[in-house]
Formats: sequence, structure tokens, C-alpha cells
Amino acid sequence: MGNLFGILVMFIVKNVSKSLGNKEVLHNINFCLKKGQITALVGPNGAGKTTLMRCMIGFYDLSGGEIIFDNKRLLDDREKVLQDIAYVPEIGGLYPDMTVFEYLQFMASIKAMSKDIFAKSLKRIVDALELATVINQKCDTLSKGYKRRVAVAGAMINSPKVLILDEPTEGLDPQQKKHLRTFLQEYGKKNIVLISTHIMEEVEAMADRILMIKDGKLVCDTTPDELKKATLGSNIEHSFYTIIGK
Amino acid sequence: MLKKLKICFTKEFNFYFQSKMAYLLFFIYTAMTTSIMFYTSDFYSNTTANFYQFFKLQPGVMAMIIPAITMRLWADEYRNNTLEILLTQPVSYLVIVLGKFFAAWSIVGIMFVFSMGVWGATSFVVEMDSSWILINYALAMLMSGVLCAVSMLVASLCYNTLGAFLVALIVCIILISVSFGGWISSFIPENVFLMRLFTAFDLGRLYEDMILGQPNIAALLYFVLLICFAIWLSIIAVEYKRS
Repeated sequence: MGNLFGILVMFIVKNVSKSLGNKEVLHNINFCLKKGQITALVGPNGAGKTTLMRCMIGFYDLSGGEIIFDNKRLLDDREKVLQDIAYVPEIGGLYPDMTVFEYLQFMASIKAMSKDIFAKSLKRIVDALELATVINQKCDTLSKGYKRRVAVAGAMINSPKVLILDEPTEGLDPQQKKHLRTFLQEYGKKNIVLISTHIMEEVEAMADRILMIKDGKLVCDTTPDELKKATLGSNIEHSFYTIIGK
Repeated sequence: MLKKLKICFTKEFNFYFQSKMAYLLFFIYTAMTTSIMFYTSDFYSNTTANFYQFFKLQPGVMAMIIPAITMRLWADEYRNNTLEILLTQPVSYLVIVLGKFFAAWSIVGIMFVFSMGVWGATSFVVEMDSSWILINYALAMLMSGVLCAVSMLVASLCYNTLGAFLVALIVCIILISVSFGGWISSFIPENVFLMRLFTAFDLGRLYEDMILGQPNIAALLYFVLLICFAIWLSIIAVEYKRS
């Protein structure tokens, strides 16, 4: 299972279905995420992107199918698998009464990082995401941009092999967006990065691969260039609307 | 598991002090217990310094204080959208729930430590049976543990702090006085099965019997089982709410 299509496959979403109440939100989703690739998960509002990501991180139980990472099923080895997966939700995710340092320390300790490794990792992540000026500030008092960066820092403190982000650049100014994109691109060279976004400019700038989801079904799994060729579009946004049908 | 339990416990425990909530609760508890004990009971006219009045009022005071301690345990996770983060960490739900429970219970423990000042001061004036008082403190802690576990269970089912507080308050009051201090017997004859059942499981009455010096292993076991049962139900409630 770990080696499909001749490439090392690390994260497998196999026949995943999810119903919430009586509604089937995800229907038989299949894809593999590969190391060294940044994948964009796109689709209109209500398509099931967040639900799919919540299934991938084990927050939701699956109605059908399975999630496999590094030959381990999420259902069977939950704690081991989650050790290598980090998630940044679209909204919130920070404890308002903690300082940035306390939050990062909590995230590191719950992932069983030693103090020495945490100290090194803290320096790296604080420098990379420019958090030094707010390190002793309470999360509640941070601006929206800093909150996003702290959430990303918390998720990445133990350098997880899989990073899943829901609208990572939401609320950031153009300079911060550019900075975070560069950072994620660098990180994605050695890890698996999945980004959910509706900003096509972001997809074009970052993604090596596009997963398009509509009404809970995976309707497209391709690269940005192939997508543009197939839809005869000049940009991803045009291709997106061609497939989604608006 | 113990290391992760310590991490979850520390996070929850620190919250009470980061938000200054602990100081407010300590003040309310001290004000309530001392004022009730010294001004509304027969503390001064009592000939034996055994602190019976102090321990007797603990179920009532704790039924009001503990819902305030536990009300934010889960509601804040929903409000801050941190539940997704917390429940997708490499840690079991049992550890998360136990961390929250022990943090709330520890706050109660600190309150009892504060109250020991009165015991210490009284010891200078009259001779007291310290071992008996320590046993009663242990019984009060166990009774509070039941209320903490049950209040936490209620909190795990509510989405907001006020709702968690009010529902837990009602549940705790019912739990410590299922037989309603005897007044319900004026409506229901005591030999009715339901009434006997109520009396047998009345947390407040069982606790009071024990602090009066009637050791009851079955009651102690009942307290411990109630704690375990409420914690187990909390885990199920969190799993249910997650999905």
C-alpha cells in the first residue's frame, strides 16, 4: 500500500465517505498525497473541503473508507499517526489566555518533544514566521495576521510530515501572504502539505497539484498546468469555473 | 500516558490562574464557608471543637462552587475553536478528560488547604482531634470529586459556560440532596420504594453519616464508582459531540 504508481506514497485517502446527519457530505473520495508536493484542495463553499480535512486528521469518524499514513491506519494507530500530522483550522485554534510561548510550549509538549529539541525548534519557527516581537504576548491580544502565524507555528513546531491548512492566508496582508507562501513552499519540498483555499491566485502561486471537490465528490485531480490545458483556460480561476460550472 | 496527563492537567490548571478565575473562586469559597460557619451555625456554643459544622456545610457550598469551576472546561474549547486542535493531538480522549477533571479537583483541594487556616488558628485555643479532621477533609475531597466529575460531564454536554453552570448547579443540588433533606418525605411516605432508593443514594446524607463517624465502605465505593462513571460518560459525550 505504501508504494503505488512507483512513487513513495505516504498519505492515502481511500474510499472515504462521511455523512453528517442524513446528508452524505463526502462520497467515495480517493487520492494519495506524496512527499515533496504542495496540494491545493479547492471547491465551492459547502463542497466538503473542511469535512474532508477533519476526516483526514481524525476529528471526524469516517462513515466509510480509511485513512492510511506511512502504512498505518488512522483508525488503528491513531496516536502514532497523529504524531506526524498537524492541522491549522480556518478560525481560532489558539488558547486566548496563553502567551505565544506558552501555546508553542504546550503544542510541543503534547507532541512529546524534549526541551532541547523544543528550544531549537522554537528559535527556527519564531525566526521563520517572525514571531519574536509577540512571543510573550497573550494570544488574545494578537492581530489576525499574527494569530494565523502563531497557529501555523503551533502546528509546525515538531516539523510534522503532513501539514494540513484550512485557508492559511486568510486575514493576512499581501506581504504576510507572500512570506507565508514562501515558507510553506520551502516546507513542502520535504513534506506533505495540503492547503484548502478558494483563492485561485494562491493555488497558482503554490500548488504542484490540485484536488477539486464538488458536492462531496472528487471531480478533478491534476496539476495546475494540465488543468489549464484541459480547460483551455489562461489561468486557474477560469479553469475552476469551467469545471465547477458557474 | 502519565507524562501526557501531566501536560493536559497543567494546561487546564494554569488556565484558572491565567484568567484570575482561581483567585475569585478562592475568595468566594472562603467568604462563604467562614461566614456560614461562624455566623449562622452554633460554632461558638458548641462544646466540642471537631469542625463538624464546617464539614457539614461542604456539600451545599461545593454544589454552588464546583459548577463555577467546571463550567468552562469544555465550553471554552467550543468558543475558541480549540476542540479540533485538542482532539487531534496524539493523546487519548481519556487523558484529555482526566487532565480536565484533576485540574478542577485540584482547585477544590487548594480551597480546602486555605480553609485549614481556621483549623490551625482554633488549635491554638482548644485541643482538637487532628486525625479525625484530616479524615473528614479526605471525605470532603472525595465528595467534591463526585461533584467535579458530574459537573464536568454536564459541561461536556453544553456549548456555553452559563448553560454549563446552571445545569451543573441543578444536577449537583439534586445529587447532594436526592431525598431533599427529608422534606420530600412529607409528600411521599418513607416506605415507598422510590423514596428508599432516593435516600440510599443521597450523596449528602451518606457523606454526613460518615463525617459523624459512621464509616461506610459501600458509600466510599459508591463515591469512587460515581467518579469513574461520570468520567467515562464524559469521554462518550466528547466523542459524540465531535462527530
